[in-house]
Amino acid sequence: MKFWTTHTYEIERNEAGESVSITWTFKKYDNWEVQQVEKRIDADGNTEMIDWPVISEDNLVNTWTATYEIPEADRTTLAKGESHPHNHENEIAFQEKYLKWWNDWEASL
Amino acid sequence: MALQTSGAISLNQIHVEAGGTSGTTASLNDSDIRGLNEAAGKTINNTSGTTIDFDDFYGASNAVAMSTTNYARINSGNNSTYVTRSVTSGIVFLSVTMDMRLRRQDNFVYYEVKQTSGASGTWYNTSGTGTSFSTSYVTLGKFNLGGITAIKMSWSETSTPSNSAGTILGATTGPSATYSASNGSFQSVSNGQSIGARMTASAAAECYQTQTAVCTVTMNVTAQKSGYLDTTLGTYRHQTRAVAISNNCF
Repeated sequence: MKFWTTHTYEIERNEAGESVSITWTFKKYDNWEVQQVEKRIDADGNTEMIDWPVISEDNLVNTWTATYEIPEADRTTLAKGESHPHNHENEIAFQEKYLKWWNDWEASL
Repeated sequence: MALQTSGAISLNQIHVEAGGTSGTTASLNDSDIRGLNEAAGKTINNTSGTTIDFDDFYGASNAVAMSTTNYARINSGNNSTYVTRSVTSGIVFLSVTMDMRLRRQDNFVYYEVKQTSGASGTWYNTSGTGTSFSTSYVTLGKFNLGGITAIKMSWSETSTPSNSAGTILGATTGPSATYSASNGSFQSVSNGQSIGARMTASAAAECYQTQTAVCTVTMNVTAQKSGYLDTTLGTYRHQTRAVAISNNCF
């Protein structure tokens, strides 16, 4: 038994741009492999072959979604950056929010 | 030895299985006959005078379950053991592992678990009190009987939480076991031998992503010995959790 679940998400925002809910889309696979994959390891562009999980869409067995309504106190206008260069402080601040949403959602299951 | 599961069956055969002497007087209302252990899917009503059929005795046995002792919480709703680790770095791929071993060491068979280094592990006793455990095996339960001939682990992945990711596989090296456990299959063992399995939660993250992966397994542990019913020590729920947090993007 070997399984892997990926997740992507979409954030719904109000008129002020604050996050009011997050919906994860989960995709479950019944197999995956660890392969050596080339990854950039520093800002200078140096690369290294490292172990990394590799999945194939052939092994997709299930897809589903879950929505978490974000409490007012935990909302933010921050968003994850999608392109280089990233604003480190912004990314870390958003990540802290995101992890709280995730942990609170998980605890509610 | 259990009664046959089909064909002609006589009251005398049932009486002998119940410990009576062949050819002596017996009745379907006798308490020893009503006290036989029915086969799976059958019902023997223990109350004298109630309706009963010869068909109810197919596969019945006078064998008894083996004596067991459990130290851990056993149910499917709460964890018996829990191992977790969180790693933050630019690029993260981590696996959080727990090993399970069923080991015959006369006069007992022990069910044991341990974790790999770097993680935080807790096991819960029958009262639900958590105690840390690490890379040394802790015993969750045991069969109180020598001479057990075969043992098995039967596992299934639990569907919640929904972010599950990992593996559960029979293994020898990690668990230091004689044989790799085959899910749901008995393995013959002699004294000092064991079967093992390894469960792992794996998570990966890069470029400010995070991934929380949980591997949850429901495990049944069963032993076999001639003259006894196949006996399940208990149903344990094991969980490993890996949290990968990327704090950079190159």
